[in-house]
Amino acid sequence: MEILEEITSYVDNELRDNYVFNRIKKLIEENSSVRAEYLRQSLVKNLLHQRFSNSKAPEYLVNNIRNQIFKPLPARKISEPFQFIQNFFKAKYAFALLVLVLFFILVSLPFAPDLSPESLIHQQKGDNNMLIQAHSNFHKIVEGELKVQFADKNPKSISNFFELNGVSYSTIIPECPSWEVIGAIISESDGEKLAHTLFRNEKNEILYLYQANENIIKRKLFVNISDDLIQYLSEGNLLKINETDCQILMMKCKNNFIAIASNSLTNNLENSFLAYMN
Amino acid sequence: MQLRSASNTDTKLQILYQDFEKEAIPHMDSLYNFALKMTGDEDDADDLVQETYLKAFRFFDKFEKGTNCKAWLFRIMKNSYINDYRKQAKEPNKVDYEDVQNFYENIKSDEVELKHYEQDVFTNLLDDEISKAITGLPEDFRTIIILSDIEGFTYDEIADFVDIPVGTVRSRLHRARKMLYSLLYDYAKDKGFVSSSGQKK
Repeated sequence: MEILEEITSYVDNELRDNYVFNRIKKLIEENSSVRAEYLRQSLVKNLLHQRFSNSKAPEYLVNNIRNQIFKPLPARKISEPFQFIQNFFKAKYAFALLVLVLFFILVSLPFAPDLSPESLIHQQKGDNNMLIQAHSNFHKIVEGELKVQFADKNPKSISNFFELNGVSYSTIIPECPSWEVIGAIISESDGEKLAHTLFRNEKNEILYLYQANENIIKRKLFVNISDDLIQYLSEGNLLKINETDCQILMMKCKNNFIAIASNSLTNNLENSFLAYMN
Repeated sequence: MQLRSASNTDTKLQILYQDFEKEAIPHMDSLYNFALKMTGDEDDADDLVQETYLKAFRFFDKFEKGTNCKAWLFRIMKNSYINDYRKQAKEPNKVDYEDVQNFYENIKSDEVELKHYEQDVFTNLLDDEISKAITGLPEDFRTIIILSDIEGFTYDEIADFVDIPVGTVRSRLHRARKMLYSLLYDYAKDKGFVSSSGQKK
């Protein structure tokens, strides 16, 4: 190795032989030509490091790459009980079932629907129920099983993310002082993409907002709520459920049905969050 | 109220997203910086980084966890650069090493206080001028100096993903710095930060 390259290694702290290291060190101290070479190389190295080592990739590029890589979740398989019901309808028992359904309709006709919150909550059953999905998804998020696909603190960027990635309906991303938006997830069922948004407050509590257009809910294919709940929410009512570890709210806002779950138990979400929904 | 759990989401894909976010995404700034200095063009750098990340995600199952993800990404980028970008791009006129050698010998000085003088001279240069000088280096030299002096890779790491011996890394780095010094010196002279006799103005 010629001396100039040994100086290069010295500048980069890559000289492993102590004897060579000490020799170069001594030469730098005593020989002005060697010192000049050392200073020049150090100068270039330091200049490049200082000027360019902290350069950032442009934000649009980072977002673009994230959007291309972190695609929405793949379509969920229809659960077995639901598949059974589907098959049942197609099968030879369809007629018997039809008779049964008619019987229940006739029996229930004299009774007005019970729209008490307890009754409405009791009606929400099945893996495709929006309320049940909201509750389950929220726990997966808190436990770290479900991660955000797009992290951003700008509500408009979140809306754009939904729009650019195939969510077919207008989404509502409230801008409120005590809850900061932190990211978004898109799930997909039967080709329909659904929007999920996450917020965080200063206490590091999480608020999860799941919204689906009323037309999707009313089709009752892969996400639904009971007819009574549709009616209850469409009349402008708010359904509130207090679980031990979270509170869940359901409402209708513009054309979307919205389920909200949060581990902020003391927070009055009606004032701190829902007031900013419109 | 008892709420039953919803259908399982694709946890495998979730884990993959999570690992990629943690391992690969944080190196995007470094890769962009490298791409920009290699191509000298923002659009080309965007394309190169994008392509690198899409390839990396496609082959992320091949990445051995716990190993150097940054070096793995740089290897992918280097291959993309060689296979795709370099074929299309016409190399601009590059500095000739022999010319540099002659020039370098002429401006060599035995002044002990050289450091202070030269730092002042180059400090006045704009980032764009320094970037232009880097882009003016021949590709093999440019690669090494960016990886070493901007990205902070060790000789062993550079040798690994450029696929050359450590001795060649050292030799190219020495030459690259020499060429870059000459180019920057020229810029400084053109800008009037230094006189033709080599004295600071």
